[in-house]
Amino acid sequence: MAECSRRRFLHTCAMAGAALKLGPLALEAATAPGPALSIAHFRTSPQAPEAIAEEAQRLTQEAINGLGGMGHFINRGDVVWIKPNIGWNRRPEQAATTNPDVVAALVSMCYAAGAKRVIVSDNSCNAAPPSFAHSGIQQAAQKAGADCFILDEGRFRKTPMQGKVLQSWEVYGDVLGVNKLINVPIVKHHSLCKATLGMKNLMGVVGGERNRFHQDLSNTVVDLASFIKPTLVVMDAVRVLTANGPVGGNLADVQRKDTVAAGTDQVAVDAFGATLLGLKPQDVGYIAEANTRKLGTMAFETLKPRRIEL
Amino acid sequence: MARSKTTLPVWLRRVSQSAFLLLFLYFFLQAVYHPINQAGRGVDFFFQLDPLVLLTSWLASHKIAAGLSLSLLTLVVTLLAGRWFCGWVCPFGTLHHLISSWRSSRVKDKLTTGGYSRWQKSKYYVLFALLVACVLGLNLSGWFDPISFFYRSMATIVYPMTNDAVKSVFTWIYQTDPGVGPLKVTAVSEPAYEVLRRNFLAASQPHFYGMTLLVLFFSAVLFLNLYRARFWCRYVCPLGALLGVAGKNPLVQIKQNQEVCNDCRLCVADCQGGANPDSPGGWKPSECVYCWNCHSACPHHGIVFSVYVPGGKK
Repeated sequence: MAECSRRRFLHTCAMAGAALKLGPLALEAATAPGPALSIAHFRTSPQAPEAIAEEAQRLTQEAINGLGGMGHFINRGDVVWIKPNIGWNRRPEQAATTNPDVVAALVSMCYAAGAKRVIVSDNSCNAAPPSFAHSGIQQAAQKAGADCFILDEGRFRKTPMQGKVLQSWEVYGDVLGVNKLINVPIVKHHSLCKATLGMKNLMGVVGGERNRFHQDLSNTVVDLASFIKPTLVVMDAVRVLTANGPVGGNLADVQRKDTVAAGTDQVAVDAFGATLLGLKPQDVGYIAEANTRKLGTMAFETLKPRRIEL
Repeated sequence: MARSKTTLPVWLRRVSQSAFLLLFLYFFLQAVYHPINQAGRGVDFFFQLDPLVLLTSWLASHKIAAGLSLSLLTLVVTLLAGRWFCGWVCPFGTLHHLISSWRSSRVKDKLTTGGYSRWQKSKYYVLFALLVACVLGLNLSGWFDPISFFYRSMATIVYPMTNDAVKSVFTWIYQTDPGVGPLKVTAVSEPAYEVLRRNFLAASQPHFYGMTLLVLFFSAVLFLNLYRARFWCRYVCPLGALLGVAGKNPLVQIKQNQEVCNDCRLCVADCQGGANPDSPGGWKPSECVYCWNCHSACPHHGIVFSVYVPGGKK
């Protein structure tokens, strides 16, 4: 498919987005023949930094393989936006941002599957330069060959979303030419909505006065997730933040869960992530709402997830 | 209007000035907050070369900054050969030279705007006042040292304004998306903007308060080059004054051929430092910045600079 016509296709989708419920990041549906959810878990919990890095990489690879491999999601010539959590000026050990080695592993896998360009970026809440640097994601992504850059605040375009509460919002423009988006959240406690997982991580794709989302997270987050519908969700639970999230900071609030989950049903992945924090999926407002709207299923066990023990 | 042939030394001087100005701008852009890669990028090179920075910081703080010893090289070169730093290296001087070249090019006007003036002594008083203030604990080199003042003006005025203007233009194009049918301006503007964003623009718009005085002072200094050539260098610059004192008896001196001189004073019209290149025995080494314009301007090849061994033929 020529680059030109794909652009036009995306543009048309943006215009007709309402009726089709597709977004400007009109993600071509993945045809994963395997299970819709795969959970990789490390039996041990190594402490040495190099060992943790290796663990994160292996977990990511196995989780994706459990879904049938990256080749089922990424085609030759794709432009992929890997969207980790780079929201906060924190170090990896503080579990406020996505594990950099998980991100790097995904970058390598995308290139191996033939991606033309892999972008790693996020609309940070804290100042972007220190967040990108201290999270370790900038270096790890660049080392793996990704295009990691700070988003430009002038490039958010008001886009119709036709959600339940969000009619339109400033979404990062289609200037990136992206056709696949991989959402890579980290599992964290959230002081307002109990947990911040994958669907809420999509807030990093929008701009404008995002703080207003917090007035009704149950609906705004689901409107957002319905609009964007990522190709794939890879949930980092190597370390999780159990308290004082989403910003965190205190190492005592961090727990090792040594898990990475991957799936195409963003509600199911979020539901699994909630259980890692000791929560019931239905107790998290936006998971229940997404389930009601049939965006996915929060009864993730019914998807018969493939569990991989390493 | 005399024919102007640009001689080799003038071309070399222009290359040198351009290179050092570009180097200054390069280091300026390099000195951004970068959490990953902080050390060892040599961004303070021009401050290191500047003996006035060493002197004022020592007087005000009673400590000698070890990293500033490169400036002694500048002093030694000036002691031996004169104010070549001003003419060939100083990026602020280059800026003044550039703006001075926009003044009226009629020879008669240039003799007024370019000739020597007694008021050129004022920079020595500025130097003196600056040093006294430093001894008393008030270090004003942020306003009067050329490297510091130029850097500060760039960082707080020029760069933020340029950054804002560039971003605004490109963002406006992006948001309004003008074009004719499928031909959009953004097809060209966006790639261009990415190049600018990754190499020159700031990650977040810098904004400084209380800049009015600095803006006025900086603009005034630049505009005064139209009134008198190299206004700052001749009348204000304390570094120029310091180097002028150091360069009072240089080994590289002007040699005027009186046999061919017809007092046309074209050398004076183009003189940047205001050093009386036409006056036999009246050349002022502490005002000369060795720009070689006099050598280039003289239609009779009557001026040259050469090395004088003390005790040799003058």
